[in-house]
Amino acid sequence: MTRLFWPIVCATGLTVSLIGTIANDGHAQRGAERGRRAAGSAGGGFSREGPAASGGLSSRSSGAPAQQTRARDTGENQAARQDSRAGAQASRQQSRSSAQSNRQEMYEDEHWDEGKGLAVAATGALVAGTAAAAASAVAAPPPAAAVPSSQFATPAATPPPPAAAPCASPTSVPVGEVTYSKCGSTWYTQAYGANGLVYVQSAPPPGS
Amino acid sequence: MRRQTSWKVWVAAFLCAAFVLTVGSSDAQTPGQSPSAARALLLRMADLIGKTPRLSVTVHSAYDTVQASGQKVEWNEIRTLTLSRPDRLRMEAEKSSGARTLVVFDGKEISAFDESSRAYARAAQPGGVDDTLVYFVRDLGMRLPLAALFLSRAAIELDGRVRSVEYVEKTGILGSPAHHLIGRTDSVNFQVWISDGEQPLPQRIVLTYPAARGQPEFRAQFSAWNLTARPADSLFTFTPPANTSKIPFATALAQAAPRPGGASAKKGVK
Repeated sequence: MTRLFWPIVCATGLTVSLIGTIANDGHAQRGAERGRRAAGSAGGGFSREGPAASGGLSSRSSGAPAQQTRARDTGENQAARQDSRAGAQASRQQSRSSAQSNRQEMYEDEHWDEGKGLAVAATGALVAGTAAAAASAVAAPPPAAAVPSSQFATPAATPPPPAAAPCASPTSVPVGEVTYSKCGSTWYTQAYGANGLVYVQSAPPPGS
Repeated sequence: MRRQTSWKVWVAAFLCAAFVLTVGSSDAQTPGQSPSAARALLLRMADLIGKTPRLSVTVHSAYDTVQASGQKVEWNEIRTLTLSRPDRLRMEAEKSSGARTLVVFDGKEISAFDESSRAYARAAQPGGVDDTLVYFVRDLGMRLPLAALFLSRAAIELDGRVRSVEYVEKTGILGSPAHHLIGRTDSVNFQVWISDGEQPLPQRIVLTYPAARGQPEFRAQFSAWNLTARPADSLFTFTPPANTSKIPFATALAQAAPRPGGASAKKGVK
């Protein structure tokens, strides 16, 4: 029994230290993974998007959009009921819908800086058949600069960071003036968004 | 004796009432004290900016974004805006990350350049500065904070959208005398500090978005106002530097083909 005591103690110690090492490795790996994920998104993984980013005097986060939706829903319901009524009533409904539509347009005209476009820019995507649109949107290569290469009067206070790809190691396929990037099975093209370069999900490049 | 006392009491009461009325009246006439005077001051500020044919200003701004965790992150940037009505504008911006962008309205085209990506986008300019600012913000989905202030019709725009204005105080805390106002539009609460004197220009603006989660703020500190700027024409010319690529505006792609089942876009790291 005494002969077995020290081997058991040693084996237990070894097992505990092994488990500890494995746990530390796992923790380190998870940390590294978090770091990689953070490096792959803007501002170290923090969102730059939000209602205050627009600096507008109107905000989409107010009750207004909900009211608009309600107004639209009401209009649609009314239109459905109205269909079963006389032609004169339908005519009145049409003019009412038109008035609602006008009000909607007026709202958008008055609240043009509420950041609606920012939201579109942040979530815009392409579907099949729009590669041609993307290609047509991208014109000939720019001419070489005839003026100083920097467009800014002063050098940057801090070196500008490089633009990142949509994923760690995308497959890039230039087609004409458009560069397609493939991440897994998803294709992206570059576009100019509210905060600079964005990758917009797109259809595969022609012929792929 | 009793009659004499009564007479003195009446005179004293009259003098007191006259004093109170005089002081009250002089307070009411102090510029900016009443809501209507505060609104008038706000509109004078907007009118001055809107009617100035050429100007330049530097804006240190910051805005909050509320993260999924509920924590706020403040993003800072410096913008220098140069405006020459009717149709020229240049805006240089540097973000806290060091990324720099440039926007130029040259009278015919809108150019947006991202220095770190070495990419630029271009679109036809729909008209003068007013139409182009609206098109740039609403239709192209680009950022130009406080764009409404730089419209030639800024006063009309503010008058139509501001629901209430109140005068807070006169202060010199920002370096020079200013009137501190607070107000509301339908969806935004704002504070503005307007310079006292003949040129009622904004010194600082704070916008709060009360209906948004976490009530984020946008803050702007104005400096180097120049209402007699004489910008050279070359300032409103954008020539793409070598080795840059032209890319479409994201909204142009989205509008070309809206995705039925949702959409996604990945941002470049800045």
